[in-house]
Amino acid sequence: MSNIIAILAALLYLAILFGVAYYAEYKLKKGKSIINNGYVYALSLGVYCTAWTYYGSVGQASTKGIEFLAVYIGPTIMAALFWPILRKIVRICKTQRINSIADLISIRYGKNFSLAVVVTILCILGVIPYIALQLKAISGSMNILTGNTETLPGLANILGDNTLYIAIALAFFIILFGTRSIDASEKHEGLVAAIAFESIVKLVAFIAVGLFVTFGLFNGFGDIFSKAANDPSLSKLFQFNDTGSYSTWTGLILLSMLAIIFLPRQFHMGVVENVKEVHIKKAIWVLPLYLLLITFFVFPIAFGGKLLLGHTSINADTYVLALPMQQGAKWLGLITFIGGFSAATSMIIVETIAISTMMSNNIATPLLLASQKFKTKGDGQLTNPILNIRRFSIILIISLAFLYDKLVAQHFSLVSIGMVSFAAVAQFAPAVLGGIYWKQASQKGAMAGISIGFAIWFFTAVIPSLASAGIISMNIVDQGLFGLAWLKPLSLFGMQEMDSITHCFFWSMLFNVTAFAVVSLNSNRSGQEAYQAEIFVDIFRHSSVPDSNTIWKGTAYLPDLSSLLANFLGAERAEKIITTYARRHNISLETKKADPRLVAFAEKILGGVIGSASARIMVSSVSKEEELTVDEVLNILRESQQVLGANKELRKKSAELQKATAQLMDANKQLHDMDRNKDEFLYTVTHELRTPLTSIRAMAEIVHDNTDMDEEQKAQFLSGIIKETERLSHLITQVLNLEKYESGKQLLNLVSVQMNSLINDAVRTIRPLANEKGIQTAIKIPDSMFLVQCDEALIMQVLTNLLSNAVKFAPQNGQVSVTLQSTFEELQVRVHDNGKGIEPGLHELIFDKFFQAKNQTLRKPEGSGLGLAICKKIILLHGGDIWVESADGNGSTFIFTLPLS
Amino acid sequence: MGAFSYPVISIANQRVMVGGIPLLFLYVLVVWIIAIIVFASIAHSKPGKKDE
Repeated sequence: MSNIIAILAALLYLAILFGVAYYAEYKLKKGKSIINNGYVYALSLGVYCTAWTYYGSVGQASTKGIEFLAVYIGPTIMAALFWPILRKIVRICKTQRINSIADLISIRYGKNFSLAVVVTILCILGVIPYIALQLKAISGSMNILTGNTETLPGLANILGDNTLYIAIALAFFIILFGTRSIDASEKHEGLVAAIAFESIVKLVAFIAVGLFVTFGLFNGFGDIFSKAANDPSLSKLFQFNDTGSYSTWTGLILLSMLAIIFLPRQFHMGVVENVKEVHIKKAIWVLPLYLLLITFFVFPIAFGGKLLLGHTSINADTYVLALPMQQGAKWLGLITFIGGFSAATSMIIVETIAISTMMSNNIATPLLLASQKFKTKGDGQLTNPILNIRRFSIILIISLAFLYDKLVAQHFSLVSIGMVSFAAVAQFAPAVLGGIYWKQASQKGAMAGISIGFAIWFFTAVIPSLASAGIISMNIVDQGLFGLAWLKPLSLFGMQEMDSITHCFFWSMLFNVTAFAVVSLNSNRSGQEAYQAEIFVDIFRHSSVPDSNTIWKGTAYLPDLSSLLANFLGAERAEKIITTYARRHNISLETKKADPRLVAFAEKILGGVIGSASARIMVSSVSKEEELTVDEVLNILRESQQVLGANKELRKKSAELQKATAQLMDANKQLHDMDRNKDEFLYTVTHELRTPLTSIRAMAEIVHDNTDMDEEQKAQFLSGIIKETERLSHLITQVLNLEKYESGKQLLNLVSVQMNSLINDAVRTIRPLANEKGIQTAIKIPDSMFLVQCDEALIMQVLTNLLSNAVKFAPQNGQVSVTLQSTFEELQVRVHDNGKGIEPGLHELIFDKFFQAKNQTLRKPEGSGLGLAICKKIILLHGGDIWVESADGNGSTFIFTLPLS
Repeated sequence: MGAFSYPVISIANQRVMVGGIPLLFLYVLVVWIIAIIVFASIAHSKPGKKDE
């Protein structure tokens, strides 16, 4: 494939990347954030998979077998700990406005400037080779794609080197999307969207090659593995071959567990660019799944490459690209190249932003601000110089990586450079993890641990690399430092069983952790350190009340503080920030002296912009801070905790009181309702009792006063008295029954009842009454037998009541029917009449007590007005329901249900 | 972590093919998939009180 096509493809891909980033920022301006999504967050963490994964893992699998997987299993295991560890770091960084790992360590240990510088230098030294590795992968893959085998070593023909132009384009992209705002803690919408997009591209491309090799060049996994099994040099890779392999495997797992959090690019995407803590939950399983998918075809490609290209001089690191190109699949080769290109560029972009932020905040900006000329700059005029520093840092990092690639990296495999970087950033782990879980961890301990770990890393990993590249003499490797055999870089203290990286990791971490713990336990902490330790370790307690317990002691003047903030943020924004903060914390802005909380807040705001080290220098330049003793800090924290505790207790009590008040109000309302109902009920009952009583009295008086009344007439009156007495007695019985149902005194005598028979009995009972009006009764029951658990007498009462009502309201020669239906859960009985119906507004009310009595406008047939109320109570007692369906003029259907279980 | 570490992993460290795939590869793959499923179910289960 021609060089031009390769260059054009790379540039086209970069243009698409620009497009994705622009689109994300355009959507943000429209109010929609693309990166506010758990899957995008998880994909952005896929920046872990660089050109090393894409090309190097195949190379490693073809020489060391399964060992390469340790680098992906480590992050999988660590993902399980994301919620307790990564989330805590995210919370700390958000509340403290931290934007790099150097800031995190520096702020935790009393905002120590030296620590920030050491961490930054270690990051630069550890990671620039790693960036160079990506450039090496880009140039190597481009050579394979174009068939160019004549590459000149070093810087000869630099202008004819494609990598130079790719590096320039990448620097342009990073400057454009990574340095838009001076606030380094601000989210980079376009950048994160582009990185997530790149994760998809490299995954799809790698899987495409995997499918091509597995099913295009071979007949599936079984075919590749069986052919590899016949080759002794490959079949030995199917398993661990000695006990040393286990230690290497475990060491690499532990190393990569730390790398997934502490590599600057991982820290940047996982912590600084995190939009919501809850997105971490998605990353816990999506990231391991991503790693599984991207490594799934590594073995088929590695073994396929060995079987087909093993006899050639092609480097195993390039099998991913070489296999499709050798087989004439040029377009697949181009796609594969783009996949590798995306893996390399995503790493370069994020790593460069992370390192350049640290470089500018902890080294360049403090130097710049030390100059009186810049200190006295006016409103917002420091914004551009600081942005320019960051831009310069980006160019410097890319340039250094380019030079390293051309001068040094050509001597090493992709994997070896990557692992050296992993071991470098692992040195931060004790200081960070100790800092967020152990209050006793001190600045001196952290400095001792990182320094000694760094020294041993340099001695055991970097020195041998430089020696094997011929940059320094091999004497130190062969004979040891100062000729001492126990100081050999690759077998320190005589340990020879481990491979070089596990060896470096073991000794550096052993010394690092030991120094960190021993020095921390034996050193005094400053007030500031004790305060930061408290905040970091108990971040979830403190972050719920931000700034409530800020400590700062000294003198600062408000105008100086405002003008300092204005230098970086502009006068308008600075004033707004100060006013809002003061209003929220009831701080008066009338006095000239600045409230200590305001000073600490200003420092935190500046820390987000220029890093904690520079922020501290700037605030110190406009204030006179007095050292706080540990006792003073602890007193403040204790008081703060007491206030916090008291507030919490008060809030709890207040909530309890509110709940009790609501319950009381509810009970009071219920009492009022019950009282009103009782009055209403008494009124209705007495009214209903008075009617028959009045009739009885009237008829009795007539009989009493007319002694000469003939016997027939007298019998008529006496019959009327008996009838009214029966009505009275019926009414009293019903009232008493209703009271039993309402008070819960009525117990159900549950037996298995055949509903079919019960309905037949009820209809038979009511038939004489129906016949009197010429009403036809119909029963619609399926053939099957319906057994239900119920109180037979009470359900009979309900059926009789509904049927007698239906007969009452049906017209002369009308129709009444009963239907029985069953579902899996309940029986449904429907009693229908073709009377004049009930208007919808009364469907609920007719089940109220004495509803007929209360509504004198309705035609009042015989009855107490308690029948339906009693029916409802009985059905509810059975766990069923009762209601009416009716349209005015179209008859009524009363329906009740009984549960079958 | 235990399932990926010595001595547990040494159980699968045999020169045996299962379904045409080396046993050790298959073991790591299966454990990996199980881990992902477990992580997903735990991550999306209801939050406990200790979350805050």
